[in-house]
Amino acid sequence: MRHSNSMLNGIRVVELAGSLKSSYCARILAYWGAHVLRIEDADAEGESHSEAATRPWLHADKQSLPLSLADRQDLSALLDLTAVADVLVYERSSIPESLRTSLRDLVDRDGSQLVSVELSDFGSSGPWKDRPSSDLVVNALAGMCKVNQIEGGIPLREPGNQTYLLTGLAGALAAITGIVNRHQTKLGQSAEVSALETVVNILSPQVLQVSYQGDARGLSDGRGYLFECRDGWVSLVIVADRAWQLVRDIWTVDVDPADERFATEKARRQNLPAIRELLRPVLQARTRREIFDDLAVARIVCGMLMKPGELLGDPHMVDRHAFVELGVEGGMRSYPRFPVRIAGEDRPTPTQAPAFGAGTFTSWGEWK
Amino acid sequence: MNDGHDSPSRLPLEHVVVADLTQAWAGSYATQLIADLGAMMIKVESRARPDPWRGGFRGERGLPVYPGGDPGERPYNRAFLANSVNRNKYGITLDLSSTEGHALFLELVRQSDVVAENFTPRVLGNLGLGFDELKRIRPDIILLSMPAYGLSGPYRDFPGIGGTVEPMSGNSSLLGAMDGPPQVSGMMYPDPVAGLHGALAVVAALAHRDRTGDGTHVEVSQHEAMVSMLGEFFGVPDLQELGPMGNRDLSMSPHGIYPCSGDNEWIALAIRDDVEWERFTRVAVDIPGLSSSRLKSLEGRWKEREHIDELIADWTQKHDALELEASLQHEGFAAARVRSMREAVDCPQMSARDYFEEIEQPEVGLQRMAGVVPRLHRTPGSVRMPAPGHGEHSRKILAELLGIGDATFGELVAAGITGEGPPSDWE
Repeated sequence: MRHSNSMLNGIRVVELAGSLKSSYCARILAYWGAHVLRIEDADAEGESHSEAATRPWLHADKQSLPLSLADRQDLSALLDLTAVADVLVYERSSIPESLRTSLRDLVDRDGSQLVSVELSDFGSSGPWKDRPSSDLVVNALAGMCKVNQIEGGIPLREPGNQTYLLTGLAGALAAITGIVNRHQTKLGQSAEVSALETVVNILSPQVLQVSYQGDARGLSDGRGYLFECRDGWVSLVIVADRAWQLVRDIWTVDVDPADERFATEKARRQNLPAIRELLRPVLQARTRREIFDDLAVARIVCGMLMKPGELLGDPHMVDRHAFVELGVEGGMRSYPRFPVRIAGEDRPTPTQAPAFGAGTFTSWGEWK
Repeated sequence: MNDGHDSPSRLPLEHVVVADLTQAWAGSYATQLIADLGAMMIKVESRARPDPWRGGFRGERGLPVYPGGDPGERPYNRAFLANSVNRNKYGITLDLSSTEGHALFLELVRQSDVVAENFTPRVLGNLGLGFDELKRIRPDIILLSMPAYGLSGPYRDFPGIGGTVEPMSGNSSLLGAMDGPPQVSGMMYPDPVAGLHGALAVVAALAHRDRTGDGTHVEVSQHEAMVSMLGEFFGVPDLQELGPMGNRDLSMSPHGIYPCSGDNEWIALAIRDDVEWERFTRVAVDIPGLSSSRLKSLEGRWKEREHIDELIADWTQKHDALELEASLQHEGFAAARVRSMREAVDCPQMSARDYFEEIEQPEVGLQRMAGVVPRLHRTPGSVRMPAPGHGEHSRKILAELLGIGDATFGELVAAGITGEGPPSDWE
């Protein structure tokens, strides 16, 4: 059985420590078996609580090397390591222009096979390239928060720093595409990923909606297909003819055939509040799990609204080993595994993340 | 096969051919990302049951938005959903349940590097197109499967869409105003999240094949893809207690979106560390009480976050959002007026970087689309073709790639196995 962690065997990656964007990008490459060397700032005083809490998840399967980039010898070591690496990952805002120039020179050498990925919030050019920013600010500028805004409510970003994770994913896409192209051309190249452009790309339907309609809004009530039930919420996609019929059969729900609100898929889609009202007694008498068990087996598209903590004990997630225990200060915690895997494999166990400031890199000779 | 592939730069994945069975959003977005990077993408749809994102042959599924609100004669070729995630693809139809359609698809597989699909797990096997069958035809084939809940486990055969995967993942329980009910995102957010993972899976499998010569069956559970985006929350001690987050952040405070003067005007503000907070208290001197020593640390500000948010909101309401954005940015703060989608598409930063792409769609006209991500500098991806009409390239692909002559093609069309638009007996 081949494992996910052999997919990028032999690929050497230098990651210059930055924020979530570069950390997650390099984490993905490490997951697939690349030898990732994370260069940490030897002069840093420490890490925050949140950095410490995410370290096991973000830096598993990596080795680390603390270097002082203000020190000429350390800087030279960094450039030596990068010169023999396959991939370089860094964030534009985390390193000075002089170092960016030196790194660009490595990519621009004749015959260079280095694939360099620069991650940033706004890109390496344009009027906002050096603008102070954050995951929230990128969301706000990309239109995402207003897409998530309900009538009379506050604009909302997706919870957590997901925009930066998406940017990291796009960075990994750049890195591996560069590797695949290098196999054909024998040449490396530089690539860049802007968080703003990444979010707007995932909003592709909304961008086209602007082109067709002048603007794009999300859901007016924020509920979508959510219905309240006895112990929370469920999501029921029951507007298509087959599903609508099945739901009424399973729960013996009577509907006046002359009621035009429920007559066609299009009408039902436009009358979800009326469907909520119709099904309220049935749903209030049932739990999320009971509803899911009733409908999912009939292949009706439905879901339970779950809290992240509930997922740890969910039988499906347990069966699929979707979480992995990783060591944190004071014990172990469960984190989600990377969701791409080779079909049928036993999921590989990650190597523990290096502690902050610990130099775990011992392969100088191997790299040179 | 040069049309649409005449970019002066070489494309990074132009040597890759993909037989694309994906539908709707997650899968189609994955393959669009790969197509943007140069792969020859052949989208295979059923003649009688087109991609649901086309909204039905008569627009009867009630989903789509049409240009200018006009469905036109062929609404299925004008639906914004399908047109937004299928650019750079050829479009053919094949009835995979027929002997002839099945054989033609296998011939397509023989000439492909990748097959992509996002059905529930039983579908491909029922069609006789499981990984083992595909491997017999093309030993080094890569198969990308993107079922809602993965290929194994108790929920494996359950169907799902973004609107159900999102609540199942925990995301909806965290999304919403602090004092409000949970909500779903305004755009079926798990779909593009899974799509990006799907594209990554394909290139990783290509890299692996380059090194070993082996094909791979890679799996992306759309559900797990969404769960993995919540990784940072699994590190917090009170995981079980988490509810709707508003715009709060676990590592920054204050961190939110605050009302400004005017109708639906807001400003996003993130104070990233204690030093920034210190500076903020000096800039926002007219907000009372911010200089308290209790608030100097993140921990102190987190404890009093609701009060701080109220104070800031009182302050921002007296200001114009754009002016406040300019002054806060000038002082080095991460702040931005909250843009609508229309305003985002007019963004000066993305315009300066020529991010958006304009491309002519025969049944729509000129349309503006999101640009290519990521940007590779020596071999950049590009937007070369609009999304195909239903079965638009059936004749071309079957002739040029599969060697089907005009007479045979006519027989296949008459039998409803391939062709464009609804079959003659469709009702």
